[in-house]
Amino acid sequence: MNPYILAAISLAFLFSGILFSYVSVISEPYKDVNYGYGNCALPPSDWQYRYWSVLAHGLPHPVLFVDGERENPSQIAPVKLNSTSFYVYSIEGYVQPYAYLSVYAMFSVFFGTLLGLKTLLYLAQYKAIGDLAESKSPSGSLSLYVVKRITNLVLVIVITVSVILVLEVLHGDNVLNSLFRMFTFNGGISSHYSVSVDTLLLTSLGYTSLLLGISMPFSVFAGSAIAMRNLSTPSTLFREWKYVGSSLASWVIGLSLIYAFHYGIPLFPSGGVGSPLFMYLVLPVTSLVIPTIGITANRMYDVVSKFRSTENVKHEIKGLSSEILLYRHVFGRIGVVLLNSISSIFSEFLLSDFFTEVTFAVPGIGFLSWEAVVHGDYLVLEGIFLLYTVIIAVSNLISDLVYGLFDPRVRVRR
Amino acid sequence: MNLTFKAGATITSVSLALSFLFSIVELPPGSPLSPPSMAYPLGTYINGDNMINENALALLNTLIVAIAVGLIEVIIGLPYGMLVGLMKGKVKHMLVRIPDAITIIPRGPLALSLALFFGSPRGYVLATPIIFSILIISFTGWGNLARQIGEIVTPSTYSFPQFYETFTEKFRMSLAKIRKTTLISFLNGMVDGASVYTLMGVLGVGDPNFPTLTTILVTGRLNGILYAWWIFLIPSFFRAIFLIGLYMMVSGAQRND
Repeated sequence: MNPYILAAISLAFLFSGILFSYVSVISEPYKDVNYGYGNCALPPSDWQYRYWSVLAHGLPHPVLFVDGERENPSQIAPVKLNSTSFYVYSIEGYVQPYAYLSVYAMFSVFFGTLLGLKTLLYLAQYKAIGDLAESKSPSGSLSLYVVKRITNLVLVIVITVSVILVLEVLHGDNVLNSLFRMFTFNGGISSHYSVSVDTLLLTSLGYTSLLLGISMPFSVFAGSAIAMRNLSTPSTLFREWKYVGSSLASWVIGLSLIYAFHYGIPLFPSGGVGSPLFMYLVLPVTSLVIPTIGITANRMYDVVSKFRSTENVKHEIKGLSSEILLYRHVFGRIGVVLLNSISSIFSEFLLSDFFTEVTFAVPGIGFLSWEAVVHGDYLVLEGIFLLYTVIIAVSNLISDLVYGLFDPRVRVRR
Repeated sequence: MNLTFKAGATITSVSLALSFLFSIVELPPGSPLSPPSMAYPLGTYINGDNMINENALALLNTLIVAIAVGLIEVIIGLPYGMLVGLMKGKVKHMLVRIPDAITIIPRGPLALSLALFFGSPRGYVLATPIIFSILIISFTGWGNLARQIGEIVTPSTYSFPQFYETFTEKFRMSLAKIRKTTLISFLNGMVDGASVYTLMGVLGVGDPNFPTLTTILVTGRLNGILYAWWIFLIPSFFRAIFLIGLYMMVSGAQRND
């Protein structure tokens, strides 16, 4: 495929991913109302399943009017009235009406980065050797390959669901109830927040995908560019960066940035999110990018060096020019390997993002994990566990499929 | 032993020696939250304790977790891998699937879910006895060694009967490789133990009786003293040095020279 078309598709996915993430975190005031006539005022049914923006704006609160008189119940629960009266019971708070878009946004960012990386390699190849960059290999069965990959995905999800079921039984839950909830995509009700687990997951996923959407493509593309540039002049500092990058985690860098640019020079706000959102994301994104850019570059460089040394031998035998060797043979082979390793980079990124969110109190999945852990909210934590597994497993499947599409050699031979 | 391994071992040994020394020798306390000065080079903690002692104790605890996790992963993974190599047919297939399954499941959320089961939430921290944290990290990390050893000691299959290989022959031939893989896995287990335990600390999991470098951080944050940089940055710096030492040892052991 033409690299420029590939670049356009990649950018479309990346921008739509970031845009949808942003839309998914937009919040607005919302009122859920129930009214009736009787001696017990009932809150609106299913109020717990609205997309309440709990982590960013706090819990919704109850407002009750009985015969035109306002009352303030202490908690959202049925209220016994003194006499049979007309009542209006409302739950007021902030909702993220488009929270469900966060799921698409997360995968869109991943897919955009995946294609973008392939485009970057393609462009470098085309610039150097033109049409010779096209690879032609004997083809295997794509459908058998897809079936095999989907089986892997199902296996991972089945194992995770089994582990969660065991944990729920150990917590004293009924195994059939737990199983029913999972099959109906109902995570249950959070013991700490009293809203549905699904609501908490979807409303916080938007912030996580927004952070990832900005930082991951930047780190992966910049890391790859650095690695490619280092092919000609490898530097020791670059090679040893993995030690610094791995030991100085993103949350450590995050803390340093807070001291430098929040307490020291008060340039950026820190702690939660507010308006304008961009200002609150500068420090978390920076702290995510600094260590990961080095780690990503190093990983790419390792792959490139490994292939280069083996291809050098062939080059000497065949008498190929160094340009053809590097851009056709070495780049051709590393391209597919890098596409495959992007899912593990994504998984590491997601974990780093968890800790960055905790450090900066960004109301994403990582911050939700911390809240669930310290409040003993096991249903939320298990929901995060399942969601995380599904995201990683599906992104693995996507990268495997793209891998199989670009490199016929990995497909299953009949 | 190459230079990278030696450098890593030196960093780790010096960290161990200093942290051991200053966890025994109690330095004079001062007024709470004093910034670093000549009298208190690393400042003082919330309760006025000298931060040299606090950091030393936390580093020592982290090291204990690292060594324990490394050892347990080897104790489970090595014999399990041998068993995989020894078995044949369906039993072997089933034995291989168990570490595979453990390796597939995302580790972070699984470790947190298990910690929640064993710990007691206190609204600001999940108090989990250190032994459970060690067991949780080891339980979710031994699969890789088991898989590698299993692959190493599984006898090769050839089309010609005269080249048939027994488990004992393969085991004897692979001793050097097994030793090297086990050493690397032990060191990787240490890295795992230290980094996962401290990361769990960032998410509020820890044993109040065994503070780690990130427990100091969590405690500080909850007391609203984020301005006291010496409470946060210095332990993070020590954690980084300690991990660099371990990473260098792993990297050195992986090289062939």
